[in-house]
Amino acid sequence: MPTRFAALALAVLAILGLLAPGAARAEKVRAAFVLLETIDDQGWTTCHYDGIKKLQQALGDRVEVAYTEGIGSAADAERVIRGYATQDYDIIFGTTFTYMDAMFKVAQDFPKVKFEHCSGYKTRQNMGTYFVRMYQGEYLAGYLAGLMGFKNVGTVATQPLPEVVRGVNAFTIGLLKGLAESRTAHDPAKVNTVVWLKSWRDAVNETTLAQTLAAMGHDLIRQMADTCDSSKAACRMGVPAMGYGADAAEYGADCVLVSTVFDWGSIYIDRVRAILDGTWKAEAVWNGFDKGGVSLSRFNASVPKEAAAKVLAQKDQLAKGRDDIFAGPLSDQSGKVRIAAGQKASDQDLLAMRWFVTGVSGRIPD
Amino acid sequence: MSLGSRGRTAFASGAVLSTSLALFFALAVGAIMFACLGADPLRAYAVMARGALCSGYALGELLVKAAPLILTGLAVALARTMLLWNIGCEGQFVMGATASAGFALYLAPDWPAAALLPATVLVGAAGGALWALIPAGLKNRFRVSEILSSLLLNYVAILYMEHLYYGPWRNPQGFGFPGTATLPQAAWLPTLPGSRAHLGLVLGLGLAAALFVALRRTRWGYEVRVMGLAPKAAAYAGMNLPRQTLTVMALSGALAGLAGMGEVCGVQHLLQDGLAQGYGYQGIIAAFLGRLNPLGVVLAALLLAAVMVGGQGLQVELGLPSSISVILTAALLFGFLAAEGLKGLGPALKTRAAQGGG
Repeated sequence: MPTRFAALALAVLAILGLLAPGAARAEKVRAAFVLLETIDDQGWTTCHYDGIKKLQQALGDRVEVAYTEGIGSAADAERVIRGYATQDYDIIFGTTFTYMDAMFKVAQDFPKVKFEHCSGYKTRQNMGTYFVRMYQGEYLAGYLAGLMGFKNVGTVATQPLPEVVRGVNAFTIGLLKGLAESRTAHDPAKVNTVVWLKSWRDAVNETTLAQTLAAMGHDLIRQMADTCDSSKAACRMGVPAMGYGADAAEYGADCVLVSTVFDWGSIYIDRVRAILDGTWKAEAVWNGFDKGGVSLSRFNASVPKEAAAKVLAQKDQLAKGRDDIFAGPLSDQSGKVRIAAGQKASDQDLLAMRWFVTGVSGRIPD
Repeated sequence: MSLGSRGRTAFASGAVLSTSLALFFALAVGAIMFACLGADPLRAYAVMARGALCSGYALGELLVKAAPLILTGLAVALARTMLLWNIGCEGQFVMGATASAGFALYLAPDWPAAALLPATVLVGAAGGALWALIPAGLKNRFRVSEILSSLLLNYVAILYMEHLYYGPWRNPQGFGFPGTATLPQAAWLPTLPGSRAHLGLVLGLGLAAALFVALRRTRWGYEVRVMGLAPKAAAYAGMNLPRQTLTVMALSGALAGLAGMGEVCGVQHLLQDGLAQGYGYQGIIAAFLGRLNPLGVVLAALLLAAVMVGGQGLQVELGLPSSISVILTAALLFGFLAAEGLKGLGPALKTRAAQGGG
């Protein structure tokens, strides 16, 4: 009798579960990923692929994954995304900005399929966006550099976009904080010199720019490109570096003090699990250390224990959701106050940031 | 390299022979690769065929991919018919795209579709043509090799386009991301219902037919072919080589420009990263696989598009790397070159055998 009762109760629960509005639980999710480069590019796409592997590990049989590599143009992206949508994938992730309009178009035609676009700003009922607050990692890397007394950093920046400008600013804010705490004499108007690659990855120019910066006497090279060639070049010149994206030390840049790492896995797990739970809705996800999405690699052996401890303490604050990196007073390069004391940059300000803080040398090309 | 430039009878049998040899070679290379990667070659080819041919959607996508290849293939083939190497199709493609986008966004955004659409198409062609006139002019005036100048101008064109959509043409509502605003809908090329295949394909097919007739049936076509087959005879006959160089390069550039226009107005609807994907260079492959014959170029472009579109299914269904379709494309070209080489050997062997027997 008890077993029959239990079975009945289960059946009722199951029916209730099915009827509950918006809670269409899924047994298994088919997830597709459209990738920019190949999965072994040691940078952007490798980071996404690592995320895919984490997703598979976390959800096992409950997720089925397919991916397509090497999709560089919007025209190709539309074909691939539409192809997955017609094959009844539940959720399709587009992992680069270029796909935005293509995905936006396809999402309209497939209202039952869910779409997630990395780094863009267009959303629909069934299309969300996701990105990570890499600037929090950059702030920590800058802070570490300042604590260790590096006061003339050379940054190989990528594209002159708000994302990158924000990262350079966060690094510089952290750097100035670290320099103040370590009582290192420095020129407050010029602690971080920025040169532009005007590309997300360009192995040859990354190397030349990093070598040039090192030869000009910069004491640390900040890599920002998707590949770690600027860090490797710094190592060859005997100058330490800060890695970006993937852990540059893993790919042979052993002079890297720490790398700020994309950790897409937590977002992928969260989004797919939301479908399994029937709670998915289109959101603009922008995760930092609090929800996972960005992480720090292991520190280099040359990093002093106290400095590492201070950085980790800051990281804990960020993990608790206390993000005061862009709290005023903050001035731009001309000395004009952009964020007054007591104020904090809003997410909107951060997403549209097109000015450098005091301490950055170099300008944003138009 | 002595590609093309043979008599018409040799063409028919030679074309069938070398094209089938090329195909066979490419299929064999592919089969070996699939086997090495642990996949059943037959199954892999079945997946490719299904991915490229076996649904209305797949066919539509194949046509989307083929449209720019037909146009850039024709561009290379036309120039090559009179012994000009237009390696600059990528740049002309980009300038065509840029010109038509700029025109639709900034010069005539409010025009009605009936006027804006044809005008945008023509502006795209003009953009490519003007860009191609630079190497043509340099060749005529200073005897600069058009191979080098047209190739180098590709980089200039791409950088110029990037400058525009990173700078003055950047979408003001785009949060600082690179890329122009979306073109007015009146400038979008009409598409086949239920597919993305657009007017650019019709333009490509129409122009291929027109070129085929023009090269064989008109005085202009005759001159172009004579200049290609026997430049000295052409000069002796009083044909104006410099003027024809300008005309042919401008037409060639216009074709590539139309391809760029089609990608912008037919597919992407804005200028952004990822536009210059190498259609200009792949046009060279299409031209030679098509043996410089405008109709052959159409077939070659369809074949290349099928390899590219079908190749993507390999990754999804069999987990094979995405570079397979690039390798297959290369194998096609190598197979073609090898077949051309073998054909050259054929008569020589026959002569030797005849001598040995006598």
